[in-house]
Amino acid sequence: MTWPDRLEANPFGTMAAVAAVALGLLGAAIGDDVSQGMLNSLRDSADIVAHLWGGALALGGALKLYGLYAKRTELEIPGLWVMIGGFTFYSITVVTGLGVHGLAAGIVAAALAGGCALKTRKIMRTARLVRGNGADGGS
Amino acid sequence: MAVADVLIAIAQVAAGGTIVQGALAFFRRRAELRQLDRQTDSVAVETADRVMVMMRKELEDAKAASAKAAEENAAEQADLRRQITLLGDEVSRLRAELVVARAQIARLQAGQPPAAAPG
Repeated sequence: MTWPDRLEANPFGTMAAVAAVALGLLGAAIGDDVSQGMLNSLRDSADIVAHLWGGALALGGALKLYGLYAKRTELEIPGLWVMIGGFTFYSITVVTGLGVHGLAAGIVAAALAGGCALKTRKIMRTARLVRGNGADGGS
Repeated sequence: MAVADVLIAIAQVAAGGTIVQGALAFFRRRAELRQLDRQTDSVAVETADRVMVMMRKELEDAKAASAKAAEENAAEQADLRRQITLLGDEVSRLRAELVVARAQIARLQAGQPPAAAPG
């Protein structure tokens, strides 16, 4: 499978990872200015947490992209997990900090987290299936 | 602000928990995922192969059934042809008898006045 095939097979996953990298890099570089919701909800610790969150989210997106296009699922899965955490964290903090005004961003981020969780589940199930069908017959 | 604090705590636990989950997936499920990578292509090939075998088997079955049907058909045709031949023979035999009978009738009709037939 060449990369255009992979892109065609994973359009949403690719874009979710790109969004994670972009948003994470912004968060890591700018800090709490990247999100008013995070600033409101985390208050004193907002800046350092935003930097850490951005770094983690960017790392997750990068792992996901690398794992997907280099065919390294053992890196794609941790990337997806970190993306779930990053998007969930953003979703909750933005809704907590902005209330109704944060709902749009919160829902989009929560949907991305949910998509990553579903993809993780799908990959793990396939892995179990492949292992179950393997020549060694392990469980 | 109690609700907000609880939500933030949940968010932090979620973020931390998923990082731990990611690490666990990397360290404990690595072998499984590597195997998946190795086998993804071969699984696809295997599936395609299985479908091919299935279709070939179906094709062979269909061919065998068709051959059997053709054989039965041929046997039936031969039987019918035989019957037609028999019927043709019968018809010609009957026609010949008819000709004989007609000739006899004609002879009898012609021969009645001069030589009164016995009986």
